[in-house]
Amino acid sequence: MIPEQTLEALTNGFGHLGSASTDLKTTHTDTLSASVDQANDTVTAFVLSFLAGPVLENLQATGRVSYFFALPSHEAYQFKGQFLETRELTADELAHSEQFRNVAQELLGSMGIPAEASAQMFGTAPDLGITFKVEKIFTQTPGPEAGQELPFN
Amino acid sequence: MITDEHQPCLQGMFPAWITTCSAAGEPNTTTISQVWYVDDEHVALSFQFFNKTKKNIAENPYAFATIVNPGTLQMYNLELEFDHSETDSDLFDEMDMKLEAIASMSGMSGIFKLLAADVYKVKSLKALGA
Repeated sequence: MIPEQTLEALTNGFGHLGSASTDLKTTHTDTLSASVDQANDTVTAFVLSFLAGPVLENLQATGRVSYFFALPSHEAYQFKGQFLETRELTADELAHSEQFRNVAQELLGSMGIPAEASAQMFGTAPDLGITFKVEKIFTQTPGPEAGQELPFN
Repeated sequence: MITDEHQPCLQGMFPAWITTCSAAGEPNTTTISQVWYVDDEHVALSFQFFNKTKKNIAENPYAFATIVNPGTLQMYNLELEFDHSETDSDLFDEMDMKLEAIASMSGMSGIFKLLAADVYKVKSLKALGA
């Protein structure tokens, strides 16, 4: 089971999905929320396929995933795992992403960022799910416990 | 390579994120408070703690970072390669002073001590979606 304490940040936080090539060059792509399959310890990150190409190339070559996500409160985690598949997003996942993106745009608006700017980051619905098996979890919240591995399984 | 267009992204107004990789091929992704401008082909990151990013860079010099223009939210991807660390330079002093100011404002003076200014060569810089 993926620890309960990470789920709020996982599904409502700002995420970045990282990968590395066979020659150890890295790349990442932003995510627009994620869903969890607790029975199988998998996470599906919602991405924009037109931006995720280099990450997908790496995942197909090496399979290794790093997934960092954080709430505005700075509560943050990093999952490490193994890429499994890409798939279409379900209607529920798309609805959740829309809710997440609306909240994100409201937050940015409250910080004085113009709507057209926040729409650039959060205005487009994701069109691809990247699913990976979670193998390790690390706390990334700034402070004395940052970098500590969370008990898992 | 780094032009006036990118300068707003390098003021620390909006966090950046970075992915590094160990020699064994394990990626690591995290946020960083600021990517510092050094010159039109170099940026610097603050080394404050011996964290996973620092450990990875010691094993493998390549990194990938994303910076954000806080006014437009235009994002730029940078391919980076570690070049050298500075501990006694104008760049180090400037970064140290700013970090100390931030720490003072947040009641954490003396905790976030700058150990080095890590300078990276910018191998490429592209606007996201370009």
